[in-house]
Amino acid sequence: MENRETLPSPEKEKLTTLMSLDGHIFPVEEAVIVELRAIRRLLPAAGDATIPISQVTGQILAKIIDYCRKHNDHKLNRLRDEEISAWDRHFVDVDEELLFDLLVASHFLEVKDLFYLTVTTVTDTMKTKSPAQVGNMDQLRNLFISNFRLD
Amino acid sequence: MKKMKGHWFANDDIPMNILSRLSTKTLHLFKSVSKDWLNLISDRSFISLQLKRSEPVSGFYFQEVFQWTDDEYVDQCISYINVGVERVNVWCNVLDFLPDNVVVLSLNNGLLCCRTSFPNSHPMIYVCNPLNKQWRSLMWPNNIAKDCSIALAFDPFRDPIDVSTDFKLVAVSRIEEGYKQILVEEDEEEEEEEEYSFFFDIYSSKTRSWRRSKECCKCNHELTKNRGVLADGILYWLVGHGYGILMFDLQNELSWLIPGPLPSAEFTCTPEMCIGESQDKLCYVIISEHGMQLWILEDQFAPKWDLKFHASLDELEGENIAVLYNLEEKIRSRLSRDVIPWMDPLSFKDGVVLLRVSAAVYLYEFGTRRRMKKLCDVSTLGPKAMFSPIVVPYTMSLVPVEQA
Repeated sequence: MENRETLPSPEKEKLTTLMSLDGHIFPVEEAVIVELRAIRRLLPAAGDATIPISQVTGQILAKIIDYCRKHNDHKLNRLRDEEISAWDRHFVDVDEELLFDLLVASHFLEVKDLFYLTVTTVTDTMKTKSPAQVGNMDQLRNLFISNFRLD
Repeated sequence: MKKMKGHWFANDDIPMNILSRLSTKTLHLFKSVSKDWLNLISDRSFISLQLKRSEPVSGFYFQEVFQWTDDEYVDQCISYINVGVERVNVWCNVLDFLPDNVVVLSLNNGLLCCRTSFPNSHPMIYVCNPLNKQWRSLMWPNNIAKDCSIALAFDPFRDPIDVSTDFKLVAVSRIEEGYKQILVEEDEEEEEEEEYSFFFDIYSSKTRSWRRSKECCKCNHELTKNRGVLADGILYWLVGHGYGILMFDLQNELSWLIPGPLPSAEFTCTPEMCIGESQDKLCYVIISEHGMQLWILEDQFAPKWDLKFHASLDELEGENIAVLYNLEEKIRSRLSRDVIPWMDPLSFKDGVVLLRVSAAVYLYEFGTRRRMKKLCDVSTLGPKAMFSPIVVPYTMSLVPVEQA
């Protein structure tokens, strides 16, 4: 009979716990934390405590963690360039509200590549619109307003 | 707007980040989305952030200038040939927002410099941005001849526009300085040859005044087309029928002449050339019996020219058989400058050259697509468009120009 005991790993992988705005808990590995540059900076001070991400909901945080994992796979050559490009295209093929939520969250968490991806997706949409249509993009308008209010 | 300034223009501002990635053309259109957008797109810090070195060539300004007599010029309409779009358009009356009829002088980074056409009791110079239709005027300086060549030097990458739009103008005057005795061998007679020098007058938008530079350049040749190409802080002019280049380094106020890549002795028939800028370097396009060549000035001091592109006449004909039929014969038949060239490179920027071939105007892109694209017939550009027109390449920018 096969020995079903798992082999002991030389060192236990360090997991950091993140908590979203609405209380969802996400244990994430080092490779993901590296991508969330804003969080990475907090790490030494945070120690083993759960890090609250007060600006991002569970749904969005889950998607961003997913993005980081997939891109880490790509970095480790587990995915080809065409595969990650196709995955990215599918990832941003969402409704406007979700796209902007991802945009703002990736900016906040400083996930550079994802921020760039969402921004270019938004600008690509804008290029095909008239000024009137752009004016009707509620999500975009909200961004301007919220920037104004933070003053 | 001033109240919000501290917050709006943090480098990681999201709206700025998004908008600065849009093309200049799109942004200009989006000024009408809302007041917030108009304020943001018109703001200097935003414009400074959005300015791209790689702004594509949108088109070419084309103007025929016909001289009736020494004193009177009749200036025809200014055409704008739009190249950035699928369907090419030729627009007329594009500078009608200016108070006078004008003659185009020079253009860099979206700003155009022109002068009032003759005759005019109050000769002026205008510096304008054709996109936002803002302009600034100054009087034509008294000590400079009215037909003098003036070049604009506006580089927002060296001189940021965050606070104000600064530029310089350089007027080049050709002045006779005396005579030189020369010996004509056969007759052993002494002959007098006039000696000329180029003098430079510089206008600074900061000081709002002109001054004559101490630097001058001895040169017996005249300026030809493409007056004042700016590359990396240096202005260049074609001289001596296109075989030489006059340069003026603005920062150090130094001027000198350099020979072009090929001397006239290399040719049995008369070639035609033009200069332009690409990636902060001076480029030289020449069409001759050797084919079409693109040379880049790598070192102004040596001087060192690099041949970046070369296509023989046969290759060119092969790629564009309908247009360039019997090309070699046509090029070789031009034996003197008095004959109008069948194929004439008019203006160059960033890898594209505007060419006149027979009675039509074409765009040729070096490197990418080898087929020439027909833009329009020369007749669309005016009755005298075959004769030494003024042609300048245009790249858009949102740069504001305040009234002085």
